[in-house]
Amino acid sequence: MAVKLSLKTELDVPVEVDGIVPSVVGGKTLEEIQSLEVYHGNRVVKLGEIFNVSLEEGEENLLICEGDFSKVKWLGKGMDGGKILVRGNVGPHCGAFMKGGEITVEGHADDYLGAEMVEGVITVTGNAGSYTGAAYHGSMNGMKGGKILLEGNAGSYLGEKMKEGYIEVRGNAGDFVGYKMSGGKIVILGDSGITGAAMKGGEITVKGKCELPPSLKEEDGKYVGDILEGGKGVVITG
Amino acid sequence: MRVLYDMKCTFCGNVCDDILIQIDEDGVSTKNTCKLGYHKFLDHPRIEFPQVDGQKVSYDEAIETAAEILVNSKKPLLYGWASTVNEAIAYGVALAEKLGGVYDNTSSVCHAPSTLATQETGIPASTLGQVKNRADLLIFWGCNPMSAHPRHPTRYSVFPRGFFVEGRRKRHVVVVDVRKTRTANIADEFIQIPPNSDYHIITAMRMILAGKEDDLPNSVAGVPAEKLVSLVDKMRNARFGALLYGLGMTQSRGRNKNVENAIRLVQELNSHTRFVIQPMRGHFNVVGADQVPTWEVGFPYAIDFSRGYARFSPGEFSVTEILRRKDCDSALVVSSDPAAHLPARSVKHLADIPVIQIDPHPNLTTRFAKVVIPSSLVGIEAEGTVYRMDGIPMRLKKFKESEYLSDEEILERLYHKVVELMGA
Amino acid sequence: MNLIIRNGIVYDPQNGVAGEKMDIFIENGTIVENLPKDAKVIDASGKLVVAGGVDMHTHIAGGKVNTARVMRPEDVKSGIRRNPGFRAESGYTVPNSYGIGYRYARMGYTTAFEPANPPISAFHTHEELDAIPMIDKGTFVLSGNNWNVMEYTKKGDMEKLAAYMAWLLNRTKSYGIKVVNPGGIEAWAYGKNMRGLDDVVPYFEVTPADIINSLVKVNEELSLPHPVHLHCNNLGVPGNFETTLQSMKLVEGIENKDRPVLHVTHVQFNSYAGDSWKTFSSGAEEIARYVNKVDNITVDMGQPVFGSATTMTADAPAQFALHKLTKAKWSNMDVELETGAGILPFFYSPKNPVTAVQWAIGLEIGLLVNPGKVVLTTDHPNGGPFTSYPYIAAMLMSRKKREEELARVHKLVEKATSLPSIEVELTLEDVILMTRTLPARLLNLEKKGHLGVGAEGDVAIYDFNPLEADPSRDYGVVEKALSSAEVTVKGGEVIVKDGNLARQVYGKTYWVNTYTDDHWSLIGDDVINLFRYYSLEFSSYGVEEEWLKASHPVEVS
Repeated sequence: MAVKLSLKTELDVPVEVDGIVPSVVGGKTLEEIQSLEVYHGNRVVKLGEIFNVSLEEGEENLLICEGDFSKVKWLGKGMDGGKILVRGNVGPHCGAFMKGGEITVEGHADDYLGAEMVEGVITVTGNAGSYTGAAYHGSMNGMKGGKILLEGNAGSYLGEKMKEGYIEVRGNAGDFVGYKMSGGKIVILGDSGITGAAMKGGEITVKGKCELPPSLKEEDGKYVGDILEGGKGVVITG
Repeated sequence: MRVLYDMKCTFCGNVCDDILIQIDEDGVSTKNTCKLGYHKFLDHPRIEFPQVDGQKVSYDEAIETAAEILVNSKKPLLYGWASTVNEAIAYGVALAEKLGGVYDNTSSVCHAPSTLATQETGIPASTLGQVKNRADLLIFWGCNPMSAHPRHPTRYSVFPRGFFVEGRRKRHVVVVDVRKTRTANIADEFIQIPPNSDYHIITAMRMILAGKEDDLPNSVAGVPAEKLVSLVDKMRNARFGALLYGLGMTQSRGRNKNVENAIRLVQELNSHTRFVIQPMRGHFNVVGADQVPTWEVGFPYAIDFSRGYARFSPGEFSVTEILRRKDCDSALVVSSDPAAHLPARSVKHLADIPVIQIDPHPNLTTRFAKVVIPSSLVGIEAEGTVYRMDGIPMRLKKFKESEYLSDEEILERLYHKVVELMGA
Repeated sequence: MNLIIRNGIVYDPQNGVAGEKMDIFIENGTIVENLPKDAKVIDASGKLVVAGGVDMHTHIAGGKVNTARVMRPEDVKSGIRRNPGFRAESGYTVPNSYGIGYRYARMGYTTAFEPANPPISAFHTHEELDAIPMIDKGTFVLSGNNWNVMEYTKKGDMEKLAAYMAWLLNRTKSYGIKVVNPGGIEAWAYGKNMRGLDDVVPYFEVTPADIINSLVKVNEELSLPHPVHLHCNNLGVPGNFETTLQSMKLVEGIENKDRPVLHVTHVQFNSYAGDSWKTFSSGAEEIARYVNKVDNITVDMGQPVFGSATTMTADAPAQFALHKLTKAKWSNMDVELETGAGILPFFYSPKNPVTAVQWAIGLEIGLLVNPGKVVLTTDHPNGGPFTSYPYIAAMLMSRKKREEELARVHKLVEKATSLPSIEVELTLEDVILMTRTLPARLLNLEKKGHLGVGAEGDVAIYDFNPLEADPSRDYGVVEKALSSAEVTVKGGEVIVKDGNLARQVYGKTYWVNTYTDDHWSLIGDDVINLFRYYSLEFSSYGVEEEWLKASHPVEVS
């Protein structure tokens, strides 16, 4: 059985649903799922107070989020398996710290999509905000593994401090793509802003136009750097 | 006639503490202030009495209504703080924590990128007296103190007679900016850079310092490399240099990355000579508005308490973002005017939620406010502690009695009212 | 409230009590001889009862602590704790003010002193001290690079120097004189440092030795309650134990019957032999031998503990050197005419040869110096957080525990230190001495650190029976018990119960008031003259008593 959530009413302040992941809701009864706790602003509420919860025929460990979830934060935080399908937009921190499984967003994602994720696959048909696959403030590393696929555009700081894994953006990306990244791959099919700054390792490919800081050095048609960091990162353009 | 010496000016981050105030039957007059400071001590329209929905009420009624609004909110935003005293801010932070709300201050729209940069790389700084006594090289980057901090050049940086540096002639002054400012007029050198090129130019300077200038193109973002080589040479050869930067660096493309890059440049310069970097902070206590919550709860701004402890996330909890996202359901605005200063899309949400304002003066935000609570003027009618832009604590004195409660008194009462409504 | 703490197993080295079953009576916040009226009874049967802990060197307040919090969100995030009914706490090495007070209280400590107060921003230090609940507090004023101090030292004018220090202690509401890298921080303003006691401070033409000598002299002249609190030159440099010994020898022949004349702080960081990081080894035995031999010097450990630390000190040049070595993020603050600061994160790894040896050196100091002369500290948070004290106590009391730890540390420890061969195991009484009696005595706080009649009602009760548990063998039990007091009593109030916060109180701030108008007539003109070079007016300088939450001036005869 799959579990389906949809909002009862439009949200005023955001709801934070960390903990509501496929491996937790899977196998539970409707009542059990409805009584799981989430944060609605400063109030702890039951999941069933905010969402219509239903069980549907479908894959085991599938969580379907129907409608506009743009004020729903931390969806799929740290999830370790199963699938989440969002039929609409989703709020910040979707898939942050994810350890496995799949998230598909049929809409737009917000900031911190897949931030510090370790494993798993995130696919977004629309755009994502800033800090996709990035590190939180103060953290040493961003994304450490897994894949993020964006059919639309990415905001700024895509893959900041990324260590391993793969990010593909079909559209454009903002400034500071791969800032301080140390490993992994980023592919951008469109254009990007400042790219490869403070890079230590890893590889960024930009098919369209991009802007490189002067601290990347051209070598055999590629750009290597950031030389101020003694970096061995590679940016491939065009 | 009363004459008061060494009074402190509560306009900008300079917090000049040599203001002379004369009080006679004609009113208050001042000496030693700059134009901005002079203006600060003049009489301005006041919020005359506490109001709820435009109706005059008592302080107690206004505070009670405010407390009820806040207690009934799921995510109240408590914003402002840069133009009040530490003692009031401490109550504000306690209130935000108690309510499970959000604390943010005006730095989130000016020098927050400096905080983010400091989180990444630290910051080698000094007090202003160190600059005055030792700096033989001053670089003003993206800041215009002659207009924004008018007495900074005379008291702390360009002109004063320092212990080891005898005065203006012994200092080399460089202005780096996108346009020729009034500060550029008093500088020895003006380097014009194109808007939004800071990151690349600072990167090029770091490369020059690291001996990698051969890897540079002839010009970086339109600035000839040789000009940057000459600037870096001056920096390396200074005995004590100071890079003083402003919103031109923090609020242009690159933001915190610009600042981080500039801090790295200064850190690297310390292997060659002594160099410090200092943000030119705006409001007279915006530093306190960062420092107080930092010791109270661990973070300086953009703090959410909905889980009972502090979480820092500027992309969600800074004033611009939380309003743009329509994520808060009420707002307490203290000594600030977000309606005048924030982007229109953020201000729009203020019209849709109950707003409580604590301020001596009516402003644009007053129009949005359901509850308006007048306060006394800090540094004139109320005492308290503020931090100068370099973190030096300054105790403000009062020299006038006021019929209004101080920010500190209002917030203390509001805090206790909230505790009463919520229970300990 | 009056209290009877019944049937506890009491250790009170000051009063010669070691493991006696007895009752403690507290009336109106003070320990009394006779059964008080209307007293609440706390049953402490079979539990350890000691005085509240006293930390005489812990960086808990002021600009550099707050800068560390700003630059270390990763640390702030790592120590989150909700405390329903109380304030939340955060941070591991740099807790928020509430976290500091609560953690000390939970550990059974009731007093802590911030050892680095920069005069110009003294009120910031006090604002943060005032924000710390639960404990009594105080601070030492940074003096070893102060222009007035160097001027008077150069002129040899001890009378004026004494007057100036009396004024400075008063203006900054400080409790004692702190000297950090004398002369070196001034030199750092132009990128230099002091490498030996006879180096000459640029422009001021005095040496570190001159500065130490004159401040020790003045400290005695003023009969200050605390000895000069010295952070030696060359901190963190291989071979620095020689500088430390030389610094100690400066006070040869200077005696004070009530207390030592010099306290050399976090001496672990200044007990290094070798001449580079390649030949780095321990100089702890030499330091310990000297300290044990003389009567006028004490030390504290500055023990590193494995894991994350935040280094913060006025010794700005040492911090820049560390930044160059580790490449970690680095903050600096040059403080005009007075001092400086440097802050960076650090990690003590058991596998790293240098940090493993530092760890061993701290323990050598703790084991080899007579327990009546060494205070247990980590130089929080330089060696790690103060919450590691129970771990350190267990290490000092149990060779078995040390052997377990030695098995996981870098082998250089065997070659470069004597730790593996040290058989000494301190007793519980020794540890109580090092954490209560001695620090209180060094602060000359007569009502602290013991449980005799007249002492303040600061008591910690730990849930283990010292007559049954042997710290050498049962170190796990002892460490766990010391980590979380079952009951902490502060000034007669139960502030921690069953290991949980019970009541929020605010302690007092001690400072020394020895200043008189006569002092001012000696130095007033000099002080005012120098304000031409400050960036603030004379009238903006300093802290008024009424600004403090609970001022507790100590008069000196």
